[in-house]
Amino acid sequence: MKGEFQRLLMMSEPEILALNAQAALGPVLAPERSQLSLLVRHFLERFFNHETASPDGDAKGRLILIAVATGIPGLIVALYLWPVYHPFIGWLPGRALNADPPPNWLQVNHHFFFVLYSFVAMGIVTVFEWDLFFPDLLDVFVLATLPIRDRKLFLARVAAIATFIVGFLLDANFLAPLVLPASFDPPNLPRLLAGHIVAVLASGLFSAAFILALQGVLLSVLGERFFRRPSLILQGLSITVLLMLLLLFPALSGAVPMLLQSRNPFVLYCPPFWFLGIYQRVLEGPAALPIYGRLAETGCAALLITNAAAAPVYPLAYVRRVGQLVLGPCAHGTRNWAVRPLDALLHATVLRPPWAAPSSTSSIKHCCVSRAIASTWSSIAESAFLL
Amino acid sequence: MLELQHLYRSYRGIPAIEDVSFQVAPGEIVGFLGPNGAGKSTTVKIITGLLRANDGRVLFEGQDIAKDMVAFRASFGYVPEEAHLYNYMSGLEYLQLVGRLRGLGEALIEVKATRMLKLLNLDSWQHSPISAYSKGMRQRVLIAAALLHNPKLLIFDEPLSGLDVVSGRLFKDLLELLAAQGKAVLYISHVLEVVEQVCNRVIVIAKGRVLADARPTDLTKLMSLPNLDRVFAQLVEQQDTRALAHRIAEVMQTAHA
Repeated sequence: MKGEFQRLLMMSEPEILALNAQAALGPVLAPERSQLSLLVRHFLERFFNHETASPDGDAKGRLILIAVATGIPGLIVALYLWPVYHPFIGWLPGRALNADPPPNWLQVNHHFFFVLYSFVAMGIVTVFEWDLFFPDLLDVFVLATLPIRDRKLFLARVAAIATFIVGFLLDANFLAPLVLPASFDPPNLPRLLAGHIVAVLASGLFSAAFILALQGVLLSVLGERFFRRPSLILQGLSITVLLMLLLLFPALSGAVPMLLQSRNPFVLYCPPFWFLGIYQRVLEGPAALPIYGRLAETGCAALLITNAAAAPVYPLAYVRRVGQLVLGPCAHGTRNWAVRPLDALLHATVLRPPWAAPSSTSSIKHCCVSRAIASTWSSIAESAFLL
Repeated sequence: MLELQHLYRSYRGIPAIEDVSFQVAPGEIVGFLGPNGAGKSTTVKIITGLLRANDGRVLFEGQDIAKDMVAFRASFGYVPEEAHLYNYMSGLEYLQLVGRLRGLGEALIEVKATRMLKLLNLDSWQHSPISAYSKGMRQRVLIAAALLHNPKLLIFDEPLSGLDVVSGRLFKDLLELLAAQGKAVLYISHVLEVVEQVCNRVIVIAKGRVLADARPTDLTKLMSLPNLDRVFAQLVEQQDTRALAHRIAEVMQTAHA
């Protein structure tokens, strides 16, 4: 056994074999990939290999199911709209089909559904993967001890997140535009397609970027330990709100004309309406109602701001999370970078290390007291900073 | 080969390690011992590059590891205390991932991983997900992953945790073989009998400071004690464990508040 191990450890790259010898080796091995592509693939696999997404461990099957479940509703609604725009009722043989399009507000409602669906689908998908957008203990202890640059690890994760978001964005929205031209029979097809694609992509992207930025801000401000507490509540709340938006669509759609015409504040503060504004503005051009122009402006600004916020916040939160995972329990007291100088000052002047105390019993007491005092001071400083 | 020079690291102003210095030469198995909270994990995290020291440096083959951490990480194999593994992967897939990320060729990974798993008696489990593995099997996968790239330096943190008697004996033989091949081994453990058996030298750390750095036999002779266990107790323990055990038993037997 020892000899076997010795041979195995000393083994280097095998020499190139003759073709017949290679053929005898059996199946062709996987092509060698770069470290970055390996990492991106690994992170993407992890997105679908966790308890929520894949409790039975069949990640590939689950991925196909999720992809189909996300992509199909848009197609079904697009198909369902065909008889609305091509009514058979009242049609008699020998007479021309009554091809009058539905009223304008009904058409707006149909556009609104696709924008809302993209918003909700991307929001839910992002919330489900919430925990895996940042490194966990496994990634730190498995990957951070391998010869990989920290920068490469970070870039690979960003690339995996981008691939994930773009993939689902396309999945949730690519089937509907295939059917919509036939269903809608629009007078200007390029405008309809441009408006539809821009609005649904912007809506989904805003939803995903907003959740990512929110998570980044919370992790940066609260730190790993305190982030865990509101994390679950926020996840539940987000899913509830998103699902409510989708399930209440039938009720909401009836009120859309009134809300838009009266410039109701709800419309101005409800993100899906912003992207409906983009849809209508692109579709109708300068003839669109002024409210659409205003909503479109808000939507564009919100999209830019959210992405601009996510871009710097994510790296900050990433670095903080990795640091806290490495430090482990020692990091529990470090809630905010702003209180570190105060901590250092306290420990350098007032507080002593636990073993500087004279006996073990008093050492434990001293340690507890030190931690309590430091914790109190940290809380005060943190609250002041946040305020 | 590996040299730690005056390492200092503090958490929130509290020093975790202070002036930790020692060397691990090629062909040496060095035991790194200390009670809980002594600073072992902090030292290992600094050596593996997970954590940066506030002061001091780590040299590998005369070079500061901070200058080229990637090259240093390519030179060591690490078995962490906790069996951190991706549960959804099989043992073979895990070794393939580690091998690929270490830049080994596909053919070499295939040969090494399958043979390593066979030698570690995991061949019948190689395609099963790690979530189905026992603790000892997970530990064997970690050991295989640490050895896959034939590193010069090996860092084992409680490597025998969960291993059965046969695997434990195999591992001890393997350690001796690796040392004979000129590899430097840093062995962190609380099982002092094993440390006494396999290590050429032991370093005892407590309260963040190195208390002893000597051969186990020299330590026992110097302190006139029968074994390393007693030496360790003398060096680091502050509490009378027997008295403490009595007090715990008393609390257990308390019937009324």
